[in-house]
Amino acid sequence: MRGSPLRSAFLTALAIGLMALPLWKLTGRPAPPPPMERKKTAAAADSIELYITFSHSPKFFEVFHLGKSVWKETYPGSIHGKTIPLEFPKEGIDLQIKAVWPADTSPTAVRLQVHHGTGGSEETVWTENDTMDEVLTFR
Amino acid sequence: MLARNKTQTDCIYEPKALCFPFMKIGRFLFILASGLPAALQAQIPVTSVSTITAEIAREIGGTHVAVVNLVAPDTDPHEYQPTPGDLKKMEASRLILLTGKGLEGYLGKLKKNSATRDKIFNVGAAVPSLQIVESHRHSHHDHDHGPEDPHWWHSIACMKKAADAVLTQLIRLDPAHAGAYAQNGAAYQERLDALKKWADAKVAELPRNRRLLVTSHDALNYFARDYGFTVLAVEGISTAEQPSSKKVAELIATLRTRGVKALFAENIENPKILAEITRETGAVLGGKLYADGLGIGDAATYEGMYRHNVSTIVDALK
Repeated sequence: MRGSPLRSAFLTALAIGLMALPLWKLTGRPAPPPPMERKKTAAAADSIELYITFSHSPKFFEVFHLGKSVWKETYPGSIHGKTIPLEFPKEGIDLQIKAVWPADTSPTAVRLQVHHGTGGSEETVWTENDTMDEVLTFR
Repeated sequence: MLARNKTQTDCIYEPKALCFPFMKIGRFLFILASGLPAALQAQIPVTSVSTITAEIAREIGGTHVAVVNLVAPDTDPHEYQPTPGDLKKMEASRLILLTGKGLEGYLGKLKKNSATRDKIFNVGAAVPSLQIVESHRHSHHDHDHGPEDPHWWHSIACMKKAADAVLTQLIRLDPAHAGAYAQNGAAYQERLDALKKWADAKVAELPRNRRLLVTSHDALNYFARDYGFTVLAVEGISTAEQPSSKKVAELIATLRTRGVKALFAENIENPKILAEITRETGAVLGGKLYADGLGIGDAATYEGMYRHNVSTIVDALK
């Protein structure tokens, strides 16, 4: 009745494997974007993929390119990604990000990752108070 | 009660008020003897040979400093030479502020004068230098600009370091008012930070591949470094350097190739050559820039000058 230890180990591993996916979907957070060097699915030449990661979720954020709003979210989570239709010249681009956090939020790290047709880059900034208004350059 | 108070006040300031004239004279003399003259006498006399360093000294020194600026706004500091009268003003001051980095070609003479030597403070020495491209170096009058670009105030980061350096000097000269200087200095730094935020956002409106700055003389390299511009100047670092016809022809070819939309003259320059280039290239004159110091009107302050320059450049090249 006890069966072989090998068979028991196999059945246990199989049970854990079957449960892993639903458990991960129920409890897991969205996976962060992959590191730049491993990014395989580059954005099209006339668009960029932009990922924003917050250590504390803001109440609101908005991204501007050439003075125009290209992305805004209210009460977002910690990690976001979006494809934005804009060209990435060889001189690079400037993105302005504005964000507002609930009062008395601790200093927050904000990471922006840009993927474009020929590669990618990232910038991290820290907030000093409950608002942020920064221009970041990506090359 | 209110009406009575008003009447008493009127007695002091209204010559035709019906009050005892000797009382008016007595009060006037009392005010003179107590507050105002003492404050004036206690002011630290500071001389500046630049509108930029004069503003820094005034902002940080406040009422404790009397600043005499020897180079008027909207004039060319490259051409300035101290007159005997200016030298007397320098000798009478306790601090002489220079922008440094070779802009003041008469510095050697001031250093030889025992009445000015120990009062000189080279503000530019407190900020990191940009090196002049070798082809732009030149001799002018009796001086050479040397390897450093002297126009550091076009970088707000440099301006902040300069303000810190002047603050240290004022505290050294007048430690009794160190608290006031520190407070004024902090307020000025906050305004510079706000200006930087504004400039960052304004320049971000301009695509990086359109950041080609064609000016009459080569004074905006610090600004260009901070904001990713390439500078093409008709003249060199000094306003006295005239371009050769070969250089103008090369510039016209470059502008045609890159499709530059606008060129910029300066407040103290004759834009004649730029006008000729615009005819050849189809670019327009994008407006005047304040390159060598503060101007007049809305450019009479550092913040006003900087906002004028940034708006003029970005709006013309967009």
